[in-house]
Amino acid sequence: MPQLFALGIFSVGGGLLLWAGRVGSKPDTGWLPALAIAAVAAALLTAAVVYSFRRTGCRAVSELLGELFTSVPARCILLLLGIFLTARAAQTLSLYTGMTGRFLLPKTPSLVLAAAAVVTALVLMYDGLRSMARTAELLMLMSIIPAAVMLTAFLVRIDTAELLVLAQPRMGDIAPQLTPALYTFAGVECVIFFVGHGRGKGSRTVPLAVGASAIVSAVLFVGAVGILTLGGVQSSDYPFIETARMINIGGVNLTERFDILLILLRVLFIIVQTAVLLYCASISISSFFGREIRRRTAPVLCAVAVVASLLMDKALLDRICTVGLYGTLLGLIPAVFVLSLFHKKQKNGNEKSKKGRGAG
Amino acid sequence: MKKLKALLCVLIALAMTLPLCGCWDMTEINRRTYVLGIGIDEDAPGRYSFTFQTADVAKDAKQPAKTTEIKSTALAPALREMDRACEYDTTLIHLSSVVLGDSVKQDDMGALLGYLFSSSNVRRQCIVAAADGDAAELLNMGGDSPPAMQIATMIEKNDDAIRQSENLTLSMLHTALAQGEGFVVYRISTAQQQSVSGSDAAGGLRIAGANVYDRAGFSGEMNSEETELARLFSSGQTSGIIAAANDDGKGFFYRVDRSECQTVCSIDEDDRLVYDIKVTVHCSLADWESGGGILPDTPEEREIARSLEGQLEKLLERSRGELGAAALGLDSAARCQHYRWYCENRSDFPRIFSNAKTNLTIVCKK
Amino acid sequence: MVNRQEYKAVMDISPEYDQPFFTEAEGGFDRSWEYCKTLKGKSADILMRMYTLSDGRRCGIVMVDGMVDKATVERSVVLASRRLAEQSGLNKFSEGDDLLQQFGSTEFSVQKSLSAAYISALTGDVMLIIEGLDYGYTFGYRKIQSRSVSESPNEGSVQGPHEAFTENLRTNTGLLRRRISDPNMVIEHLKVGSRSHTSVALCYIRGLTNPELYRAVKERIDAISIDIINDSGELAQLLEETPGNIFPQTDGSERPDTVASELCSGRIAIIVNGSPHVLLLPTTLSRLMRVNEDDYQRWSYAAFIKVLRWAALALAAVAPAAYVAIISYHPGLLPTDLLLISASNRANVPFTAVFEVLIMEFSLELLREAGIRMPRSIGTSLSIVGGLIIGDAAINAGLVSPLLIIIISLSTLANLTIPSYAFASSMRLIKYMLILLSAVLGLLGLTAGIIIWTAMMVRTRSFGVDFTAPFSPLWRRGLWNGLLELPMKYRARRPRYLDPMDSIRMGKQNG
Repeated sequence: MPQLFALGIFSVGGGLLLWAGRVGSKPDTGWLPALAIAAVAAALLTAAVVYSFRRTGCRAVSELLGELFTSVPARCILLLLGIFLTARAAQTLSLYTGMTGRFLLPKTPSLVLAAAAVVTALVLMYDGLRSMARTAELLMLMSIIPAAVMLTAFLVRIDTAELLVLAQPRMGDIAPQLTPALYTFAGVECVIFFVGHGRGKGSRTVPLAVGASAIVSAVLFVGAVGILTLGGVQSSDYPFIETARMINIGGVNLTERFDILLILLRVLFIIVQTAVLLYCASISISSFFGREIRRRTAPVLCAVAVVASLLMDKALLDRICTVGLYGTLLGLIPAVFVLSLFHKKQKNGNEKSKKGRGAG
Repeated sequence: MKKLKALLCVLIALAMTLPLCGCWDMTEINRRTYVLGIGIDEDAPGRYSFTFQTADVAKDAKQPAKTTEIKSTALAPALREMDRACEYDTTLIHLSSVVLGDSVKQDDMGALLGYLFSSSNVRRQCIVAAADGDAAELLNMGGDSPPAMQIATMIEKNDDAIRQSENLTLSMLHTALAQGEGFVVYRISTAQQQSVSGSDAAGGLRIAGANVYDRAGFSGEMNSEETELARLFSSGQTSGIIAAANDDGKGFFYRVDRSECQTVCSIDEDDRLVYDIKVTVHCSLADWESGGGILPDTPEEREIARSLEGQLEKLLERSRGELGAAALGLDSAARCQHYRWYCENRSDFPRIFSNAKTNLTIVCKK
Repeated sequence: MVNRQEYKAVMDISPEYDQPFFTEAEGGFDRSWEYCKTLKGKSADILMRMYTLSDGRRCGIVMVDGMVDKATVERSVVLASRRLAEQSGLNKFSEGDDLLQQFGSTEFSVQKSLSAAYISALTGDVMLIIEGLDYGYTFGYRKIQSRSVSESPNEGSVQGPHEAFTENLRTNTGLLRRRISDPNMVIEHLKVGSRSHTSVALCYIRGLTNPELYRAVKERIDAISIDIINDSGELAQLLEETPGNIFPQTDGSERPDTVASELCSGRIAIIVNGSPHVLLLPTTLSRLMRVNEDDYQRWSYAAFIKVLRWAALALAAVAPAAYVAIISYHPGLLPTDLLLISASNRANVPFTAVFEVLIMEFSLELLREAGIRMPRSIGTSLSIVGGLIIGDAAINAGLVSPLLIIIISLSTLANLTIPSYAFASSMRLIKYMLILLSAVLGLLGLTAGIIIWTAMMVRTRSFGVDFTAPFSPLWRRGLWNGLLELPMKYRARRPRYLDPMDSIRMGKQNG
């Protein structure tokens, strides 16, 4: 039965992910085995998602999501999701105020920095999802050349000998450095909101954006290790920025603070990311109330995110985001797809019985 | 709904007027004091004399820079006092070089420069150099451009590789100190007499040698010729004039126009470090007329190679002895190629390196 | 005390107003003639002539002196009226058949409405009333003095045609017909303005232009209720969906070759009588940054110029703001040598960077405006004064720094390379927004400003087409053609965002 098959694949994939984590955390084992297991798990999960999607079609998922959103338990999940998304936005803002406060505008109060980001995000959110997505698309197009210049400068400046370290695994050294790279995964937690929109361009753009973000993060990480050395990355609070500060486009002497280009690109995408997160949060909370109150909830959530980013303990914010958000999402996504298979089966069964009664 | 919209507009307007209250970071470009260089000399035990070189941007300025001397126990209070003494706020974002006097070469670098590592508005590419004498004298040298910038320019030109990895910057120094690794600081001199080797002088400056530091601190000095030879252990370098002798003992002078170095580090069965170093150099013979009148000979390539091999072997010997692996960058080769082993044996590495075996191969092309 | 009764309008200007010709029972010819006399009032340029036909019937013509060829009217209309009398069966034509050849204008129409016929006479037609008929005629014998076809003063080019539209609608439609001899090209006539009755020509290609677009444009034009339209710019503002939007939602050109090209892409052109500027709908960012000369030149050079133009767009908007941000907030961005030079140049400048920039920008705006308005006889002298004031004297007085003069000059020059004047004006406003944001938060403010600018562009729609097409929504081929200029053979398809009914431009043998 396709439902059991999909459930089985999801379970195997999830189990493999857990095993990869356990293998990677052992001090003596290299990270290549863990990476291989994680890759297999990711492939299985992707195959399961695609299989479920093909079996049900996007309409069934949308119908199911529509039905789920109206029931009380689903609404509670959405409320929780909204809270977690707001916390993620607060975490992002906290990172942003820390970075800009340290490297760009040290004397400007964090409240002003956060307010500036949030007001810009509100302007982005004003016209809705489509407008926001297209603005992000345009900004990404505009950033291609500066990003390419920056990444090229990183790659040229690398000491390839230092990269040999990455091939000699000590997970305990590398894992903490990978954590900042995770923060650059813009929008991955909002994938679920785009899934229901079907096979349109949105469903292609989001994975593309996440993939591009992953590649950029990988290049930045490799560049940081190659330029600063792994030890330098370990001892630095903002390794990517420290790396960018080491770059001087030689001979030309046109740029001094190359890190500002990196910071501004990062700020650009942080603001877009904040807008997306808060928009999704306002959708979730509106769904909880069962009314279209996005225009009212969005400014309130913006204010909450600003206050939380300034006042909340960062460790607590991190815990809410990683455990709460990713846990909810990782639990939700497979459930949605498997349930959609059951939903379709039930719907097919109902239609058959209607036809049978009609023929009789 | 309309009232809510109006309230929202008011809130947003308020939020937008908030930034207009202060412009907290706005300081005009001509209303800052740019510290271009810092010199550190020992004034008394536990007390230092800090020489700050700042840009003079006044329209009628006769010199491009001026220096201010402040005595203090540490850099941070000296900077604060400097800030108080100057008309405008000081800024280190254009710090070109930090020069350490001869009197402080054996002091703790971390303690001396710790403030610069923790401050985020310091130029990370700032060159760290040592003075062959007093740092203050070096910074008061004079010239068309500020001496601190001259020092930085000269040292940056010295490293021909695209990565500029031979030059010690603040960032590299910070990393080395944090990881407990060694580093090399070039020694700058304003001596009038030009020695055999040494890079081209810029405004009377030259690289007189290098101070080598290992995990424990200052480990020794290299003279200018050894400094030129040490650069050949990284690829893409050129050198100044190096004095050598052929098989018959006749002296000659050569210059390395381009070099490549491949270092393979392995650990044998006895847990002994083995370095296989292959250096390929493209040499040209050089004239050196001043200071001795020794005329150049025209040796064969193998004679140059043999001579160079002898010189590099001597340097390797010194490195295994007092100087340490950092003098020739051999510690980073071991770290990169055997990272896990290096991390486990990091504290014992100096002893391990002193027993290391080196197989040196020279390929010379004239 | 003004006697308002004396100045009361004799004709209701609402479009629904319609006074038919008076029947015999209502007074017939005499009453119609009196009605026209009342409408004429004290206007000396409106000529009313009465004739007696050979059968004794009276006929009258109404025309505007200065808009018609009076001699031809006198001759042809009278002869035509005789022929009409014969056709009505009331009288036999008494002169020879050769007079039949002197039938009047090829342009005539039967009018049921007396008021409409009179208004038509005011626009340059000739109105004819014949006793005994409860309808009238209008003939076209226009002889309106207007500018001859010459080079466009605002859209110059090195290569390609140089002729431009004039203020005469017929001349303009003729120039367009000459370029597109397609029987499917439709030039539909409309009237806009309750008092001006301005003729407006809606041009499109049947079977190519999206019918939804045509319908939307037509509906909007029909919905306009205004007294006078002088220029296409006024019409453009009335047609725009969001007139408060800073970006133009209509484009235009004074060149027939440009309009013809855009019609063949699937756009609609609107020609307004009295205006040489023809509107093109819908418009997009890539259209506003394009000139037709890009098609006439070799693609390699055209691509280079296109990239330069995009760089100029960025420079025009961002350069002064970036100057403020760097000088006031982030001097660390400058190389040390440049920093020291800039700092010493600004040593005696009393103002902050933002105030310096605003002074210079304001001076330049004054100079620009004065340059347009001032009489040509003193133009040269004032230009020299302006250059001196803004340039040398300001630096010597210590008001501004030399670096700023260069930045502002570059920014202004970059702004002038933007082909569309309306879009260039929008960019000037965006520039001020970015300057103010940079003054508050440095490069962070500039970044936020760029995001807001992008969001504003994305929000703009022109007749259902996204302003940022083909960049967003992304159309890959259009993106390359928008950014660079692809060789002709790679432009076989019409723009997808216009949704034309026929998307293929070029045959397979060329593609």
